[in-house]
Amino acid sequence: MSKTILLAGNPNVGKSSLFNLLTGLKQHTGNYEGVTVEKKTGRYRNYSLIDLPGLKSLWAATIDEQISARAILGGKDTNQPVIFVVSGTKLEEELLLFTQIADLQIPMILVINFKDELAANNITIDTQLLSGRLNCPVLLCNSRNGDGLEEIKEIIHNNDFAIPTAFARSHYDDFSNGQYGNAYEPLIRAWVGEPADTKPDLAIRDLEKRYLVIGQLLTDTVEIPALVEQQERSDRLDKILLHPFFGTLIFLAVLFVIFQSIFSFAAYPMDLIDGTFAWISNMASDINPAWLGDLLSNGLIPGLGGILIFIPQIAILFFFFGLLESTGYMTRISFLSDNVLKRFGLSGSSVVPIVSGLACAIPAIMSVRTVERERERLALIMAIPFMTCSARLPVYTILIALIFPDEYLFGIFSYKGLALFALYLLGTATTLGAAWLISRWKEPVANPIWIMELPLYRSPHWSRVFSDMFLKTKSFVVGAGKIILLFSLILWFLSAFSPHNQQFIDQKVAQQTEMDSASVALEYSYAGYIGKTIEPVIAPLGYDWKIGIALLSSFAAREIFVGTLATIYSIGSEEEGSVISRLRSEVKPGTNLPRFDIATCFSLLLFYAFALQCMSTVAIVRRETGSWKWPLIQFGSMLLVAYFSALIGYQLLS
Amino acid sequence: MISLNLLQKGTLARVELLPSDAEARQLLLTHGIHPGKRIRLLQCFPSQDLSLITCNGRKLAIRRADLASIQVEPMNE
Repeated sequence: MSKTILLAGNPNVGKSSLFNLLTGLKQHTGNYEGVTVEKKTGRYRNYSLIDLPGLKSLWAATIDEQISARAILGGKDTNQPVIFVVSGTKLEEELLLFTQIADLQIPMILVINFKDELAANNITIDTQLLSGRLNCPVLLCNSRNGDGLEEIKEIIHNNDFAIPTAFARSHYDDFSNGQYGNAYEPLIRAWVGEPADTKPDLAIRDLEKRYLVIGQLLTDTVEIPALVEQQERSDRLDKILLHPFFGTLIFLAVLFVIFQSIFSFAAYPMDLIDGTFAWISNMASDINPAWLGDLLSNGLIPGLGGILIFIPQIAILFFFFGLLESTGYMTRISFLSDNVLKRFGLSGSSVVPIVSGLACAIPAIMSVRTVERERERLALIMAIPFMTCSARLPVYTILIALIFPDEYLFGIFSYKGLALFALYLLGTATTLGAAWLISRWKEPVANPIWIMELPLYRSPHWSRVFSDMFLKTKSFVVGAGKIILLFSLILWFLSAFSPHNQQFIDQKVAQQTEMDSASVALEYSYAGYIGKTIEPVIAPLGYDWKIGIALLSSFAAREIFVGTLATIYSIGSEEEGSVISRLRSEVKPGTNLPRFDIATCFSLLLFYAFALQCMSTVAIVRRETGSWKWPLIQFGSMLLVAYFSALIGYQLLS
Repeated sequence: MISLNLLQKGTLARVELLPSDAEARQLLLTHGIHPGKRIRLLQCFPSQDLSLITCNGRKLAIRRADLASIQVEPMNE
């Protein structure tokens, strides 16, 4: 069995870059059991390396800190050594955690990263003296260019990890009942195992004691000039990037570039994926036996294509997130937006997931992991699907085209454009409103103190940016893919099979003059019967059984709505123009009134604005929350909001 | 001794007292803010209700209302 080594340290110390250098692409991401925190595991020779989420103290304050602390405690039980990474410029606070882990008597090495920054800022560290004081190896390295990596590898090969000196452990000595005992580890275990902080004073006393010890330890081992050069550069940049006006302007420009890139750069590979899957699907339809060809061409292949088509958008989004994070700009975005978001029970940390929701809820929900507070994470996961994602666009385009004229308000503003803009505003307002409601319901107390470190600006670490993009995209495809394929199969079965035999269907096709055979078969399929069964429920919204089938099928993914309508109204082509003209010409049975009148279209717009019709989102929420409880609550509540909004909209307008 | 929110921009001070609320106190301690530390109010952003402080080479953003809970003693440089 391979030996496991843990990589621990504060956030933003270059721990993940070091992990990438050691493991290359031999790594995978997953979640720690039952929580949203990402677990990054990789292989280096015959060692298994775990890159723990950054934490500041074993007296864990957040869910991801608890996970890291539990992993360290679990590692102690199985004798896993720790590579502890610090950035040399902030040794005092970073050594706080080092001393806490050391007092658990775990074998360690101390890696002081960003060696180049130490030299640039005239910081001197007597590593030999420090190593002697700590009683464990102390190494300098630069995770950006691999300088010092060989020495770390040598320590790993020779197993030169050492249990450091005890720092504050003696404060927990216990001589009651005439026997020696030490309460430190049991206290940490109790704290980490129990989310509610039962004895906060304990943690505070521990931290205060350790700062005294560290102060003495660093007195003659480290020399840091009062003002470091790199910090001055960061300060100059912050004067512009955090400026209330110019900073906001630059932030909006950055967002504009990101979303333009997502829509423009992703369009070509998305078209290519779409075209390739359509071609494969077409080829598969000739496969014998016929049921297998149908299963492949109408079930599995479109289902698979339905996930893979999102890869370019997701990869581009994660590329930009990685870039913003590795340069230090991400925290500046949080700073700029905190004031607005705190009114909705959120904080500046929420801005990136919310804005990402405009592209796709899936990467947006995945990016919620960067948010520290659990309550805020849950509020975001539950609210983000209200954002107007790109999958809503084709539905909106069709419905808006059916009810709004091709005219301009004051000769400048297109009515259709204004309607679309209003739907985007509605989505954003609902998201913030839902987040506010959830955060109030989950924890009806005042916001706790919010403090955020603004790291130094650094040039991007490209290998980390690309490897993160690759791993997160892969994680999406594998995670959501399984569930999407399953749902695609179920939908295919319901649409392809009928309670009647083929002779019955053929008879119905022969009797029908207005619809083609595919539409007749759909009408008498299980899906068709389900559509007719739900008709009484959806009739008050202005929908018939045909729209019902489109509604049902689009619960897999809302963009399916257009395609299903096209099939059901016997349109050979899904080309937008022909769908609109055919839908316009549809009339309500026995009348000359249009089937898609203003009231019905308005009702559908409201339904699609609020309903959670995306299997991938359900799958991701299930994965991120670790249970079916939240996706079911989310699905049900969004469905209720959608239903009643559509009902009110239709009844008022009809 | 004054509250940190009353400190003049750019002035150096020594941290004297942290808030009594345990959660806030622990959070500040883990960010390196503890009695005896030198702290500087770098910039205030009234429109964003945020302030920037530096402590031990770290730049920290903190809401202005939270600054009031930290007591400091201004220092001469």
